[in-house]
Parts: sequence; structure tokens; C-alpha cells
Amino acid sequence: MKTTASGLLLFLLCALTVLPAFGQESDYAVKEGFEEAFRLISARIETATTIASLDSLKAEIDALEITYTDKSELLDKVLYPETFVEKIKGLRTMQTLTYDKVYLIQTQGVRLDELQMKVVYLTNKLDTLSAQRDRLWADLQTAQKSNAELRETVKRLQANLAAKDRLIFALVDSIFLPFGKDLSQLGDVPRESLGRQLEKANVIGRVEEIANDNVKFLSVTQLQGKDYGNLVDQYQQFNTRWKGLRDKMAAVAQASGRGPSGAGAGKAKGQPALTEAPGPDTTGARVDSTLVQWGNKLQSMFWGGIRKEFTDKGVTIDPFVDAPSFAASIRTLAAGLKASGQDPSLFVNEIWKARIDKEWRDALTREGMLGKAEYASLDKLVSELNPEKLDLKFIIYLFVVVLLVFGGWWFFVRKPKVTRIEPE
Amino acid sequence: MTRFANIIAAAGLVTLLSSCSSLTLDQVQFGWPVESVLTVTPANLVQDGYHGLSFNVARIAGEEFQDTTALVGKEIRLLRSNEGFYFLTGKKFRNVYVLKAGPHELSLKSKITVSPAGLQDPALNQRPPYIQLLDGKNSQKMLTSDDIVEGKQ
Repeated sequence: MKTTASGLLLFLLCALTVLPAFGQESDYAVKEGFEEAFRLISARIETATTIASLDSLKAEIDALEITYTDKSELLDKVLYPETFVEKIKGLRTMQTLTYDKVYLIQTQGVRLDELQMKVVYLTNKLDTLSAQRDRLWADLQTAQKSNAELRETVKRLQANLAAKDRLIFALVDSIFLPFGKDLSQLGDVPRESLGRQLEKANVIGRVEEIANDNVKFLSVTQLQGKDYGNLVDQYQQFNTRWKGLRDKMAAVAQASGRGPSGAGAGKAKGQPALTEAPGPDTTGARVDSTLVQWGNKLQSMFWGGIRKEFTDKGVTIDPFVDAPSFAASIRTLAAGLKASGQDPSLFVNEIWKARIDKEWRDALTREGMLGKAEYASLDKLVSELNPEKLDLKFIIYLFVVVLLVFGGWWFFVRKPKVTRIEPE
Repeated sequence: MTRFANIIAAAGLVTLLSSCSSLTLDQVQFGWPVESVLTVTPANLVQDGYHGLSFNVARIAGEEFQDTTALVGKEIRLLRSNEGFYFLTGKKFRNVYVLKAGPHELSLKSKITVSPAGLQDPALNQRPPYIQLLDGKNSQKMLTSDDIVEGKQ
């Protein structure tokens, strides 16, 4: 408000200087005065960067209009083919458009600041988690602990890795969010800004580190069947989100005209091509490779764990390394047992029902593994091998119930009547 | 009969000649809304790009200052009246020159003495039917193409 008032005062002073004596002034001076004031206000609108200055300029336009309204007839002639009213209207339009633009920039700036702070927070959080992870590794490898304690350490480590997975992609989202969805349309300046932020946050380096941590985690820990459900989910989510991030970076690289092969962190012009750099993984190729390693390790441990359930019980089964070969092996085993007439109870009761169904079903029913439909199909096949026998417990329960019903009936219906002896 | 025929022929000839000699459009307003302030080039030329007019001012400089180069680098003020006459003056001028346009020339119609000491801060305004001459804040004169009609001291 103060700025507006002072701007108005300044303008009026200028106008009074230009027009020393209304009533006996040069028409030429009027024209020059108006054109100079118009030029000055236009220039200031063009360079205005704050809402306050634009408010002040609006007041100056009002003052300009008031000052020259009496001279509008002369100005209409002088400004031909434009008119005084059109000139003022043009100035107002220009001021309004610039106001909207500056307002948008200022509000976006606030949002950007918030997101920048979030990026810093997430980066610090990731660093904290990395330190915590290092302590857990050390605990796991050096301490002589009980099984329960080791199990607890593994759980905490797993939770730590899952938290890092989530954080790194929250960090990525925070970085990409201000740049909109259509990254291929990014101009040079925002693209370079995005590239700098990705580089500053060391996004690809962190993604690679997390993928490596997960591979290491699988290598050094003894996992149980129930652990795998979450691990499979974690891997699949990480893989999907990484592909999304890689596509975004490719879009940014394409916007710079380098094509998808240079899909890195959108480096500034003049810097070496991303694929040429032998040091940091700027293209994400190493992350891809680590993810393949992670996936392979997870699959081999998972199917190896299930295979061990069979070998521990001495049941011979065709080797399997993935979901299709596992399903095929189970079907072969079931067909063999059925054809040979062997007792399937070891396989059905002790392996399938007691171990596979209880420990491994959660992970097996994941879509990336067998899936629910295929698991249900195998479960039905296995169940048919061992037709339900009449359960002894069920017979005993039935006998007890019948006995109770009969006793009740006897007590209430067939109870011997007391013979009343009448006195003679 | 012969005499009457001669008279008819002569009248027809006069009518024909008069219709061919001039076609005049009336109600023309030549006036510019505002004066042009033009800087004299080293070649003694002034150019008014807006009105598409240029001319040499050496003879005006010679007439006013007795030096044909006196106006080089200086500003002159030019305004065309509704009648079509050009009013020309400038700083230190004692006169306003009223010029009329001809084929490739501006010729002097009249020279109006407005300030024996020379104008200090002159400006010309269109005030139909006159041209207003200001000199600073306090001096104003109304001019026709021949004389001062108001403000004569």
C-alpha cells in the first residue's frame, strides 16, 4: 500500500514536471509527456518481478489516465491510428497479464521452496538410514547372538531397506513434481535445473546403493518362507518405480535432443555425454544390472528354499528354478504318486500342507511368482491325491453328541415313573 | 445568322476550355494536429519521417542569422495550418516563417516578426483558425498566415 502511494506520488511529480502549466502548454510537450510516461510504465511493467511493484504500476496507470483525459482529443489525433483510450487499455491489459504471471511465479516459487526443503529432508533421512543400516550389518556379521536376536536384527534391517526404498522414490517424486508431467516439452532452463537437482541429490547413486543393499541382504541372511512375500513385493515395486524413473530421465534427455541413449540426469550443455562417463552411473545401466542381480538372487533363494522342503523330507522331485518349472514338477510328482499308488501322505500332509501351504503360500500366490489361480490349481491337485478319510475325532465327537441326546431323552421322556402307593 | 453561329461557337469553346482548365476540391484541411520538432543535419536538411517531408533550411538560416550553417545541429519547429501553409520557427528566431508548398519547393508567403530579442522556448500549436505561438510559460500569440491577430505587443 505504501509502495502504491509512493509510486503514485512519484508519477504525479513527474507529470507535473513534464506539464508545467496546463492551459498554456505545447501540444508537442503534451504528446511527448504522454509517450514518455507510457514508455516508462510499459518498461517497468515488463521488468516487474513483484506483486507490490505491479500494484504500484496500476496506480500509475490510473494517474496517467486522469492526467491526460483532458487531452484525449489531441492525443487521439497524435496517436492515430490508436486512441488515448486504447493506449490506456493496452497498458492495463499488459499490467494484468504481468500481474498474473508474477503471481504464478511467486506462488510456484513458494511451492518450489517447500519441495526443495522436502528434498533436503528426504536426503538427510536417507543418510540417517544408511548409517543405521551399517550398524545393523555390523551387528549381523560380528555379534554372537541368539537366534531370536538375529531374527530381530534381520527384521530391522529389512524394515530399514524397505524405508529406504520408499524414501528414494519420494525424493525422486519431489524433484520431478514441479516440472509437470510432459517432460519431453521441457525447455533448456528447467531441464538443466532438473538435471542439477538429480545430480545434487545423487539419485542414481542412491538407487544403485539401495539395490546393492538388497542383494547383499539376500546373500547374508537366512530367510524363512514367510519372509519372501514382502521381499517379492519390495523387489517388484522397486523395479516398477525404477523403470518409471528411467523413463522420466529418458524424456528429459530427449527434450535436450540427445535421445534416450543419453538418458541421465539432464546435464548441462558442454558437459561430457552421459554414456561416456566411466565413474558415476549417470545412465542407470548399473542400476539395471544390479536389479537383474537382485531379481535372480531372490528367485534362486526362493525356489531353493522350497526345494529344500522336499529334500529335507526325502521326497524326490524334478528340479525347479521358477514358477513354471515348479508347477510342472508338482504336477509330475502328483501324477507319479497317483500312477504308482504310493502313499502320498508324506508329500501331501508333511510337505504341502504343513510347509508349502503354511509357510510359502503367501509368497507363491504373488503375481510375480505362481499367482493365486495357479496356486489354487496345484493345491486342488495335491488335495485330490489324499482323499479325506473319516476322521476319528469327528466320530468321537459325533458319538458324544448322540450319547448326550439319548441321555437327555432318557432323562426327560423315559424317566421311570414313581409309583404312588395309596394308603389303604 | 453567321454572326449568331459565331457567338454560339465562341460560347461553346469558352465552356469547354473552362471545364478542362481546373478541377478544384474544396473543404480541404491540411492541418497537422501537432508540430514537428526536427533536427537539422550537417547537410542543412530536416526530415519529417511521419509526414514524409524533407527540405533544406540553409536559406532560412541565412535569412534569420545571416549564416547558412547557423541551424546545423539545432532544432526547428514546423506546423502546417489548416490552410496548408507551413509555419516554421525555432529558438533565438525573431520571426515565424510562413511557407507555401509548390512543386519541389517551399516559398515564403510571409515573415512575421514575433520577438525582436529572439524566441527563448518556442512552440507552435494548432488552434483553428489560427496557429498559436508560445514562448515559455507566459507569452502566447495567435497567428494567421500573414500577421499576429492576438497577443501583439
